[in-house]
Amino acid sequence: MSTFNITIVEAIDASSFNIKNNDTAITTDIVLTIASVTNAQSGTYTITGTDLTAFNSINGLNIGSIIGINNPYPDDMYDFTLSTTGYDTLSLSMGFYQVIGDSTMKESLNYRYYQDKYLRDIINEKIRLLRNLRYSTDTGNPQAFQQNLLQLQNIR
Amino acid sequence: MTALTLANVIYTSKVFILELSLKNYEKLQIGSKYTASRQEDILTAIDIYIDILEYYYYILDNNVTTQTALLENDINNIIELITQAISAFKDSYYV
Repeated sequence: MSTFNITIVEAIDASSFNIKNNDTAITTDIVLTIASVTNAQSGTYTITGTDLTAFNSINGLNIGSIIGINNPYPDDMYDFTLSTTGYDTLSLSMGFYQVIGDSTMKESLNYRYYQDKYLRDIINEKIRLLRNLRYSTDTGNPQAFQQNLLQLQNIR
Repeated sequence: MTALTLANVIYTSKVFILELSLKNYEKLQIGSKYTASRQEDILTAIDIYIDILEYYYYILDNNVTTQTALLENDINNIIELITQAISAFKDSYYV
């Protein structure tokens, strides 16, 4: 049995995600399941035909909306499962946080050093939590991801 | 802007701030409380700007071409702001 070697990246506008095969081209249809950790939403997508060609290409396959999952993809941890003939089923968790990341960074763009310290502290805290989100995604820690996401969403 | 170009800007800014802090550490916070506070504000602002650049770098590094969150123009403005902030920081020394 072979092992999947893939990369998943959320689009900046959270409307889609890119999935790319990093290893030998796979020629059999792949069943992709995506499930939100907190929203109890899930969907299935079959990668076949031209999608399979894109999946094996250097640019990867862009997948937009999937029936069963809200679109744009709400910030959350998502469980991905991939299966196909001759390969071990792959299960991995990915954190999507572009919606909150987008608004945090746009807010930060307007910061100037002569502005109120309270504003500076808020922006600093948001950036710190955003960085934590990335760490928790990279280390595959859903609990830390949810805690940091909740904190970030609650800051006014 | 390529990811490599941006990486160079981030690296240069970080090194510059580090050297500025190390070489002139004894000068920091000499003078009025107001001056010290202003220096701290400027350094914090530069840190925030570098965070923005790193976030944008992460976008570029992932080869995602749809850039709705931050535009290249925004990033060029931030790079300009870093330059201005460094200049303001230097001007704030008490000599």
